[in-house]
Amino acid sequence: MASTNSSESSVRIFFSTNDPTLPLPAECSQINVPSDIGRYGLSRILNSSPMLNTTSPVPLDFLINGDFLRGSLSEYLSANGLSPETTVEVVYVRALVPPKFDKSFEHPDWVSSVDVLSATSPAAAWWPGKFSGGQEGDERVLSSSFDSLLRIWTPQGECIAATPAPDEGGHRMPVKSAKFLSPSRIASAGMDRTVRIWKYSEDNTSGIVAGSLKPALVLKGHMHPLTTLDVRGNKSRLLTADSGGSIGIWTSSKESAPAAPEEVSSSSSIAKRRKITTTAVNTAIRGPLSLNSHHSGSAVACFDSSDASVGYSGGFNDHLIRTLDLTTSTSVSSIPLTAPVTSLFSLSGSMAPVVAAGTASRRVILVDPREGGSSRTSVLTLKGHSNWVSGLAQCPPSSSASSEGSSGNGGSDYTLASASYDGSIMVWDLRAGGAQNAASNEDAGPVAKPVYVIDREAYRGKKRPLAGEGIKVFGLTWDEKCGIVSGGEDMKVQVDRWEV
Amino acid sequence: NIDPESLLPKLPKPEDLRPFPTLCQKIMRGHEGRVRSVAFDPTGNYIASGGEDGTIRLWDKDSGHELWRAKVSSEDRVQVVRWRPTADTFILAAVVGEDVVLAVPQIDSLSGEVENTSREVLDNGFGYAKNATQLTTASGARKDPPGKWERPGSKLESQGVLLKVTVRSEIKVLNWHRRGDYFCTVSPAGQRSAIAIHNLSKHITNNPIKKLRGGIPQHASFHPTRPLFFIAMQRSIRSYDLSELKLDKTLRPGTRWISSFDLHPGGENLAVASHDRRLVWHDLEKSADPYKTMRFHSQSVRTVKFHKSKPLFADASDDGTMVVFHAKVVSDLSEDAMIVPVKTLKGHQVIDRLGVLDIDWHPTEAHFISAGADGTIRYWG
Ligand SMILES: [Mg+2]
Repeated sequence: MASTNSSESSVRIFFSTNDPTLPLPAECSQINVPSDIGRYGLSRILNSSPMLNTTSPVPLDFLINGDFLRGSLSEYLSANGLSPETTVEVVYVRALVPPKFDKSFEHPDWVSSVDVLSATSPAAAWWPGKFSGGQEGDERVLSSSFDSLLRIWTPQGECIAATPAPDEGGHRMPVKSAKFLSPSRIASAGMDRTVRIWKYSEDNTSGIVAGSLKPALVLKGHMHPLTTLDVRGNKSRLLTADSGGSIGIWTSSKESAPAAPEEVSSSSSIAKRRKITTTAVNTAIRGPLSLNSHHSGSAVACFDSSDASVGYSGGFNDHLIRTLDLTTSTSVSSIPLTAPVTSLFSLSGSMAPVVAAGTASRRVILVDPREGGSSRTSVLTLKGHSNWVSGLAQCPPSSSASSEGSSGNGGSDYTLASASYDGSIMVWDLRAGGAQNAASNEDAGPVAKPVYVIDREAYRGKKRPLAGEGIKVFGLTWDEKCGIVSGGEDMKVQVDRWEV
Repeated sequence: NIDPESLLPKLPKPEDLRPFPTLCQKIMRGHEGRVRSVAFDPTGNYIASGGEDGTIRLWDKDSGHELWRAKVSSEDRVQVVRWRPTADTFILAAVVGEDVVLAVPQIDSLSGEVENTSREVLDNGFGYAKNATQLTTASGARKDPPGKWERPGSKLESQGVLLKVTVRSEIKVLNWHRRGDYFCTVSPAGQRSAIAIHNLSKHITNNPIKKLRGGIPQHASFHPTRPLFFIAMQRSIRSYDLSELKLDKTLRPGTRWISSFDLHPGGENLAVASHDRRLVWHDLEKSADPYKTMRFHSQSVRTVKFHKSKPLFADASDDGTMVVFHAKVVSDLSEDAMIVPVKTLKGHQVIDRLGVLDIDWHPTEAHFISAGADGTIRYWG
């Protein structure tokens, strides 16, 4: 029974962490604390002198059996039927600090995806020395839109480049995804069934930055609209998925790309328009390294976080997550889920090789692809969204590797962000997952709840509209410099960042 | 002392019958005025709609973004949109007034192969039409054929509307045969030409069943697997053997005014929607009387639709709601179908006493779309 005057009682706790930047002297790991202590009290104790001994206080959160401590310790013990006599294992982690709204970039139509070029972004890391901008403000944001264009933005919100109109060599339908291959090359995937490579350059001779996006290569072969694109710029590799279940592997190098497959040209007016386009703008056309059907309906795909010869694909209609050997373009194993897969992300660092799948059933399901086969064990289920999960991004590793964590956001490679058609981005700590949260038989493994939520700026503090109408989030990326960048049905790119 | 409750068969709890749609996930706006009809294409990747603004539109299923539209009439509303059911083509049939128009939406996401096949399927019949014999009445005067097949004119053709079939009076219902060679239409005021079967590959329209007893025809549909054809009059549903044009069966749902019906994909059961607010289930293997009559709505039930592969069906009503049912059908005469209402979905506004006008299930997922008098299309999942 819970004691009402718990101030007199004390509980013995054992502190542990998996954050190597926050070591605790062994002799300090077991202490007695008053049972009415909460998160703040524990944080103060750990930040005091014989304990963590940090230069400035580090806000901490505490996990007991995978649940964040939110009330007092005694409340937790009584709610979970635990005896105050036992030693309680408490895992301390940096408290996740929400970002602040920074800016929105206005578009004439819905924004389908976003990517960032910064000193810490993948495209800069793949090409050491090629990204000249190291100064604050040199970062670039890439957006793709349902108006069929790609755009490049400065962090101040100036649009400095856009791809040409459909009749001048641009995409002919909405673009679903676009990513930097390098500081000067961009890949995009459209509903017009093409993958396009663009040359990006900047000129600031007149003191004003002007960018240019020119078509470099058109990649053809998909028979259905593209849904997702992933890139490994250092390997010149692209991985695409289409709404017919085909997965494409491509090279961005014109010289080594195979010839485009002979496509049946249609007799219609579209075909006539297409012909005019290809003669007017002479962009080289190439085909896929491989293009195979792996799903019975619409699919999404991503590279493995560390091995560019491995990919993962997810099916909307067949609910499967497949592990793909990209060298032979074969499926080596599959994991069945219970819901349509709407987004896919391969986690890196401590969480590798876990794959996170966003679903139409509003959950993010984390699976270990090594399990494969008939095993249905999910590592963790993230529950909180109220609509399709459209995008996923992991907290980027801190480039400075300082003991202060990445950019003051408290995040680590256990931190994941998810974007949803409900109009929100939720941020999760993957170390939190209590089996007792599993409310239904739909959730196989432990279940976690979000740590904080980022709303669209126009709806901050307001009730979100039914069905996410007008505010669906379609695209999401997380960059150490730029913060959490997202785009959606509100026709905006929204930047939320931490103060540096 | 036996508790009467204990004698009733135990129904499973809705939460044990997942998945079924529980939430509105997308709202698509754009039509001016009522949206009359919605349909998923055979792949489930696109949504088509037709409305009182005379337009047919195409939407991206994933995002809800509009991709294409064509204005097919400046006077008449689009009453029905239905896709040709095979995935080798991308052909949308739309009913507007006395016409059925057939369109291949002009979008660059369509492969040349699918587009060419679609155009061929629509054009193949022009050879036959030329040789069609001129119909004459008993007095020798020229008579309109049951269906006139022609090009709709260059303006519509440039938008992808490639073929038009005109019958003698306004059409309210259109349904395809599963193979996509035939579709049927119902013109309630058409009398002897009310029921038409259209042969797409030959561009020929017939009125195979001219004598209709029981008032005004309401709905018609092909059997999902056998050569049978079903016609709903106001109070009864008759099935006909298509090869011999012979009456096969008469069903009496016991309602005063049938609005529509749908056949279970297994072909042995049929659900009937009625303006007198009832939903009726018939087991075709059993009697002419209903197996079950249900009342969940305060207004007219407009439509009822079965999922093609999951044990699900849903109805839609002018009270603005839709009820989703789990329906386990056993193809065994000794065992009855198990029907459990699992969810009532609300969201559409009732405007001028009209609510939800049409619904269609995704081909594989437990998701469906609805067309509202409030001008919205809603996606439920
Ligand atoms: Mg039976």
